[in-house]
Amino acid sequence: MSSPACKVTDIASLIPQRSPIQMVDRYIFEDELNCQSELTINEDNLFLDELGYMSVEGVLEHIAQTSAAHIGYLHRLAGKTISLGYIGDIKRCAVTGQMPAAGATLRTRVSVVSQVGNVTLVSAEAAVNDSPILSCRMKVAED
Amino acid sequence: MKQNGILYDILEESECGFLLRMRNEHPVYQGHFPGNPITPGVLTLQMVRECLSHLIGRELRYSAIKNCRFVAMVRPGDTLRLTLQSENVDGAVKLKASLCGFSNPVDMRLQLDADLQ
Repeated sequence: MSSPACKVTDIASLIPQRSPIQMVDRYIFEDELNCQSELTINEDNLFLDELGYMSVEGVLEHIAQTSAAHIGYLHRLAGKTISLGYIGDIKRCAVTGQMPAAGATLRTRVSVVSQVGNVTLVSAEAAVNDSPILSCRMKVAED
Repeated sequence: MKQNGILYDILEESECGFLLRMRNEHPVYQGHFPGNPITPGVLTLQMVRECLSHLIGRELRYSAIKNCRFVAMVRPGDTLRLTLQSENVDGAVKLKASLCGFSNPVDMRLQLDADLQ
């Protein structure tokens, strides 16, 4: 049976990334295989271009940290410590909408496709105002 | 990334590639990771895009990434060779790129197959 959704805003308790590259504000656990996250984009975000729009690379980092937060949350439930995580690969990445500007809220849904050893394969979709902007598959490896 | 400090320097450039050196100091290393500086993988992707944009003469952004393998880590101080193969197809730039270090004869760090616009 799935646990009820649980929102975490103390992101530093789930992932090792810190400012200026902490790219998740809120993590929402749905069940062992699914989660969501949110990031409100500040004007000093590292990934804004000269016109004030987030880069595709910034959205990919948000997805990677959402995946890491999910792994970290499951570790916390199991009483384990948080480990460093790295992107192993990115596949099937399609940019389907306009990148968000400062002030917008990025929302991402991540589903675990498989987990083998310390490598987790996820499927992710990022959206702004309920409109999808990017989808991909990503492998995240833990140290 | 330039508005927040320069992440790398271009040591050499040609039509098919670049020789790059990662700077030792950049604000991102305060958070990735504290006491253990590692260049975030997405910033190596950004570096590839910026170099291709520089070569082509206009700002590009990724529209699709078919395959991007982060083979090994990039750290501050690393010297890297970026090899680019690109062609224009119906307004999009099709790119195959690789990023290698010099620690051993192969030392692959990144392999990329992507479309940019």
